[in-house]
Formats: sequence, C-alpha cells, structure tokens
Amino acid sequence: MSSPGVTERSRLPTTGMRGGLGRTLLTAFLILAIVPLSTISWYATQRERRDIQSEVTAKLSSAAAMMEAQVRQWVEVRIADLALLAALPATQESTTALVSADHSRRDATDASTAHDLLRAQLHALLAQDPAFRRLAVLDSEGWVLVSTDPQTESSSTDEPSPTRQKVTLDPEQTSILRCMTIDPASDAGMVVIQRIAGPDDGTLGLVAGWLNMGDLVQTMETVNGLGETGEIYLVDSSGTALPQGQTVASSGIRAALSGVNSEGLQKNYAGVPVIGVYRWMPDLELALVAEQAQEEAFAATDTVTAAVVGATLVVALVTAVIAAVVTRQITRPIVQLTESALRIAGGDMEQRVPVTSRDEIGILAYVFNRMATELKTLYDDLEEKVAQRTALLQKANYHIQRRAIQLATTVEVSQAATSILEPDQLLREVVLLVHDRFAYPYVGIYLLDDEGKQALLQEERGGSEEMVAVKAKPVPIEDGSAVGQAALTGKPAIVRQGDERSQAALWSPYIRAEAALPLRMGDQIIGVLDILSTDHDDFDADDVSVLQNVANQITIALENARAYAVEREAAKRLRELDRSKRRFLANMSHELRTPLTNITGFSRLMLKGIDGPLTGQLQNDIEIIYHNSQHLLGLINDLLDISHIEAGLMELEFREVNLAELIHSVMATASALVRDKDTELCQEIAPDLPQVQADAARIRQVLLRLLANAAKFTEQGIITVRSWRADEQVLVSVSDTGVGIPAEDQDRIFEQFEQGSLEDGRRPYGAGLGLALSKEFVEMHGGRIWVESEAGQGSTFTFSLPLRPHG
Amino acid sequence: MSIEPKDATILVVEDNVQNFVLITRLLAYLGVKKCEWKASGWQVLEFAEALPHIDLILMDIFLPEEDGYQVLDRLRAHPRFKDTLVVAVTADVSVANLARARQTSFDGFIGKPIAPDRFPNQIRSILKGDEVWELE
Repeated sequence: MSSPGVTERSRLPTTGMRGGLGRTLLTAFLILAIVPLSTISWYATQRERRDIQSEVTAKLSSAAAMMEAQVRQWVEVRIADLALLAALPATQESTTALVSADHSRRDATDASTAHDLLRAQLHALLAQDPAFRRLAVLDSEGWVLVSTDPQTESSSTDEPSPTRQKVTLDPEQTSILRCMTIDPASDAGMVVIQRIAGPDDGTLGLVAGWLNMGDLVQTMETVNGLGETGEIYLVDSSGTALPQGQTVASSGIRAALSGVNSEGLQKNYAGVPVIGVYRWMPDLELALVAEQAQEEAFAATDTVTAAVVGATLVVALVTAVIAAVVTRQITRPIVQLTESALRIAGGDMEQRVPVTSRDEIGILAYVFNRMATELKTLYDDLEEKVAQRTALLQKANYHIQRRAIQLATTVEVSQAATSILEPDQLLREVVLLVHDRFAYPYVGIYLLDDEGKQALLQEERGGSEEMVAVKAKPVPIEDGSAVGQAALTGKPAIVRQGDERSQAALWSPYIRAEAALPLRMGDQIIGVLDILSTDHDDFDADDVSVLQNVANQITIALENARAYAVEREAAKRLRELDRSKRRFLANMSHELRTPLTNITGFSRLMLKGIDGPLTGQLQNDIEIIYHNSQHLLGLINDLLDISHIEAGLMELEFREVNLAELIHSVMATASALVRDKDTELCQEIAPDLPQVQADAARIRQVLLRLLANAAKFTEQGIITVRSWRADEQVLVSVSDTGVGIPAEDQDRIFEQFEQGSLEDGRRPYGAGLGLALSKEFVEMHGGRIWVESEAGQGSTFTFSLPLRPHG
Repeated sequence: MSIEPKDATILVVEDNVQNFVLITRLLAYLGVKKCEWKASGWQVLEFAEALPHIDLILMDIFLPEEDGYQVLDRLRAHPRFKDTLVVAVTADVSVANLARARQTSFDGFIGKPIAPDRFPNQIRSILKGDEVWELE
C-alpha cells in the first residue's frame, strides 16, 4: 500500500481528477455539438456552390451563345458586303477584262481602266466598312489582280505572295472564310472570300476581304453582364486569343480547340480558378470561351460559411459552459471521495463521506463509507497482530542475543580455563565472567569436601548480605537444596520461588529462581556452579544446556589446574632435590678433597723421607696409601668436573694450542704409567699438523685419561698415539693392543657411571667417570669421540677437534 | 733480590691446620726457620705489622672473615707491604682465578693440593726472585 504522506497527497491533487474528467466530458459535448452542425453546414454550402455553378454556367453559356451569334453576324455582314460587290456588273466586267487580258502583252488601256475601276470600288467599300482592313480581287486561281494595298498587288503579279494560298472554290460554294489568325497585329488574320460569277455562272474571279479584328473586339465589348471578372474571348487554332492578343492555354481551351464543347470548374490561362464555358465554332475555326472567376461567383456562399462558423462557435461556447457545469456536478462528490480515500491512505481511518444524493454517486459514497469502516476494522486488527509479532520478534532477538552472549562467555570461560592454571584465580575469573556476561545477580562455585558430604563455597560474586550469609554455610549434599541436589545427583537442579524444597531465606523480590549445575568429572562430582536469577521463568532447557556447558568447562579447567599444580609441585620438588643433590655433591667433594689432599700430601712427605728414613715395609705401605689417596682424589676431581658441567658452570678457555707439543708433553708424563710393563709407547704425528683453538688443560686431561686406560689394560704390547688433519679438524687416536672392549659395551662406556666389564668380573674403568668426562670435554670443543675395538685385539679411541670450534 | 730459605721469614695465611702443618713441614725441609701462621682473613695486616720482618706471604684465597683478595688489598695499601712478595695458594685452580690473581698484584700462584715433590722447589724459586704461576 502507498505510504501515507504529505508528498503523496500533494502529488495527487484533487483538481487534477476533476480536470481529467471535465476535459473528457467537455470534448464529448463539443464533438456532439459541432460535428453535426459542421456536416450540415458543409452540405448546405456544397449545395449552394453547385447551384451557383450551374447558374453561372448557364449565364456564361447564354453569353457565349450571344457572342457566337454576334461574331457570326459580324462575319456574315462582311460576306454579304463582298457578295454585293461581286454581284455588281461593273465588277464582273472589270474582272473579266483583267482576267482575259494577256499578261505578257497587256492591253494597257482596257486593263488599266478595269483595274482602276475595281480598285476604286474596293476602296469605296473599304472606306464604307471599317471592319475590312484590306480588300483584293483575285483571279480564279487565287492570284491577286487588284488590291487596296498596292504593295501586295505588284508583287503578286509575278509570284504568289508568301501569305497567300491558292483559293479554290467548289462550284456550289459562293463564299469561304479562312481564318489564319485572329491576331489583330498580324497581316494574315481572317479572310472572307466571295466568288465573282460570270454570265455563264462560271467563276470569273474572287473578291477577298481581310477582316479588321479590332472591329470585332469593339463588337465583343458590347457583350457584357458577367460581373467584374467575367471574360469572354475567342481563341484560334494556334492558341491566340482575342481580344487579349496573346497566346493562351488551359485545359478547357485545349478541349474546345480539339472540337469538344465543355463547361465546368476550370483554371483559366492565368491559373485563376474559374467557372468556364468552352465552345468550338467549326465554320469559323474559332473557339469561344466564357469564364468567370470562382471567387466572384461563389462570393455569396462565403457569407453563408461565415454565418455557419459563427453559429458553430456560439454553440461550442454554450456547450463548454454546460459541460463545465455538468462536470462539476458529477466530479464534486468524486473529488470528495478521492480526498477521503487519500486521507484514509494517510492513516485517518475515521474519514467518512457525506451521502448527499441517492444517485449512483450517492451509492458510491455509501459503499465507500462501508469500505472505510471495514478497512478500519482490518487495520486495527493488523496493528494488533503487528504488535504481537513485534513482541515475539523482540523476544526472539533477546534470546538470540542472550545465546550469543552465553556462547561468547562459554568461549571466554574456555579460554580462561586453558590460560589460567592457578585454581583460585581460575574460579574467581570464571565467576566474574558468568556474573557479568550473563547478568545474573549472584554466581557462586561450591567444591565438595574430601569426604564428598558437604559442598563448601569457594568463590562468589554478587548477592545481598543475607544471601551471602546463607550461601557461606556449608551445604550438606542431602539437605534437599538445589546445590545439595546437584552435588548428590550430578544433574542440574532448578528451584523457583514457591517450590516446597526451596530455601525461603533465599528469596526476595529480586531473586526468584536458582540453578545448580554439577561440576562433574566422569562419575565424580567435584562441586556445583550455583546461579540465582531475578526471572522466575529463567533457566529453560537451553539456558541450562549452556550453563552446564560452562560448568563442564570449569570442571575441566579445575582438573587441569589441579593436575598442573600437582605437576608443578612435583617438578619443584624434583628441582629442589636436584639442587640439594648438587649442593651435596659439591660440598662432599670439597669436604672429601681437603682431608684427602692431606693424606696424599703427608704420605708423600713421608715417602720423601722428610720425617726420617723409612723401613722397607713402611715404605711399601705408605706408597699404597699414597697411590690410593691419589686415585681417590682423581675420582673426586672428576665428580667435581661432572657436576660443574651439569650445572653449566664449566667454561673452556680456548687458546691456540700446538697439539704436537701437547702430545709430547703428555707422552712424557704417561711414560711413568708403563714403566713397570712390557709396553711400548709410540707416537705418529703428521708433520703438517696445524694449531687448534682448544682448552689445552682439558685436551691434556682427555689424552692422559685415554693413555692411562690403554696402559691399564695393556700388560704387554704397543700403545700408539696418532694425530693427523682431516679437512677442518684434527683427529687424535690412542690405540692399544690390550684386551679390547666387547661390542655390546662400546656404546655404554661413554655414559656416566658405566663401565665395560671383563670376563673375570674385574671392574676395569674406575668409577666410570673418566670416559664420560672426556666425551663432555671433546663435545664442548665441538668434536666427537668414539671407540673401535674387538675383544682381545685391542682398542682404538679417537677424538676429533675442529680447528675453529665456534667458526 | 735473592733470599736464602734459611734467612727467610714466611707468613702462611691458611685456615686448614693440616695444610699449614704440611706447608711448614715442607718449608722446614727446605730450610726455612721462621714461619708465622695466621688462620683467618681477620686482621692479617695488623698481624703482619706486628712482625718485625716478612719476606714472603703464602695466602689462601678462601678464608674466614675476609678472603685473600681483600686481605691483599689492605696489605698493598700499606707502604710496608707495597712490594712484599705475596703468593696465592688456593684450591681454586681455574685459569680465571689465576688470571685474577695476576691482575690483583699477587706475585705468584700455586694450586692446591700442594705437591710435596715440587713445593719446596717452587718456594725456592720464588725466594730467588723467579715467578711461579702453576695451577697444579
């Protein structure tokens, strides 16, 4: 539907409605009034024109007939004149004389007399009748004998004049008329010829008269009464018109010249529309034309037309006024209806139209009012429905938003669960999150005690003092409260104000429902998430589902936190243990060293004889003491080194070391090791051995240890120290020909406190620290140590040192 | 400057009695007749001042009260002991410690445990004016 609005109404002006209908009605009225009137007027005018045309035609015809008669009469008078002349005996005699005379030898006297006589006669006639322009006597063959025009005569004696034609008359014919042209200016023109009869009725000659056309014009001018534009004229076969004296042409003239008489509406030679009558006069060889301009002829009808147009305009005006009045009568109620309809569209449902008449428009108004009433009912109904739907929608929206918040909170709880590992802080955060995000007035978390008989409040947020007091008390799980139920059954428990089992102290005008959600880990219930709401109808299935989800997250997080705490405690204890072990080790080593150095020192002192000479047995015993204390000191030093390394305190001091020199020096020391054995020490050192970056003291230790080991297990044989360069490192090996190491022991001997074993069960490698320490030292240099051995075939220990450990 | 062992007066600053005994026995073996003992780092300077003459001080580093370096600082601050021979005798046989001893104006370094075979010769060298810097 169109939206109700000011613009809508202003865009549909009511005058526009009236104007549309009014225009239609007015047009209809005008057409009805004007079309018949116009048709009748047109018909009447046409009739009038036809009448006028026939009248004018008749007038023209009669004028033409009169003119024809006049022309004929004019010509016949001239013929009669000539006939009279020809009938004169004097004429006949003179002609005879002239004709009979021989041309070549003319009887001058007779001929001249006759000639003069004839000429006199001709001139007499010419003078008598101005209708003749010229007269002549011709012989029977048409040659000029005598003429009133001497020039013509003389030339005609020798040869026929170019303007002459031979004239031959039929025996019965007494006269002829030849019309060359009716141009008054022409020398030819109209010629009348009359026979001069002889006594035997034969033809003596001819008398010819050239007619003066100007005279005819004067005759014609007498014919009149054709109005101002009326015109009557003659046209010869060449198209020359008289009295105009010019060549003319029109379709009527052409028809007449071809021998057809006609009349009707034509255009004249000047292109003017005329009513014309066209006649052909064959004997005169002339066409007669009578014309009157249509404009003049039909002038009367124009008056009639003007009258008709005026009447039509008056009728149209009257009709328009009537149409306007009628239109107004019809459209006013319609406009009212329209305006009412627009107001209804604009929302004014109370709009009604007054019913003022009982005609169709009255019925329309009545129906309109009924429709408006119906519409109002429907509209009110619709508004109510829209209000209902809107409320539903808002509720749905609220639920969706709430759900979104709940889900977001669940995610946040989940994040807190994974990021916070301290249980108390975790519970605090979670309670805060649920309280703030879900907008519950109170949120608490209970944890079960060790026996699982009581739930103890662990963390809470919100709530009045009374409520907090209620909540702070331990909740026995069998007391029937929501928290107790949830803890007991492991299922969510919902309690509302008014329920029997609810704690009366809990409720207030603001607290109307409680949800307790178990924190459950498998079958074990560890606590309860307790939530209070202001809404009695809160905690539907969806809410509970979401909250239980949150509770599950809390449980998992709690378990994680607990596990983490246990783990951390264990790790802490382990670290402490380790630290105390190291401290103990360091202390013990130091404590052991101090007395041991004294044992060594004093036994050595005694062996040196400082305290006086020793007996053989005493010397032997003190040597045993001395050697064992030295051995023990070595072990303790190793232990100290190992603990230093493990504590990350051991730092090497790298210097440029000449390995060859170092090996020489160690070999010198080691020679004491094999002094009492049948064992030979050899060294094979590559001559190009480069200097290496190393801690000389440690390398010395390693080498000495390897040599000591070799010496220890080689009772008889050769111990060889080799050293050579391989790429960017130097290799040092110590080979012996001793007992060898079983394959299964070769990997273990570099481990701390591991030793190879001998078949006789002897423990061959001291405390098992030497090789482990050697390995540490070599690896701290960035090198590697390994052994190749075959039991009974001896062993080769090899270690590598990079030339630049840190490059 | 060369001092015969029999003419030398040597002060031993050492908290361990047995060590001191071992040292004095070895010094006696060398021929030293005057040997004084201070068992802690406390008032070593005052003790030394009280002595009429000192040719050499053998100084332990780990000592009760004040350590060897502190004691040395005090001694060097005193005009009488500015140039007196002071040799570190210590169980800390790290190269770093030896370097520190060099920097802090010790005149020599002998690592513990004392090697009875070499100690008399080391002292003799020092008294002769040679420098001894040995870790073991």
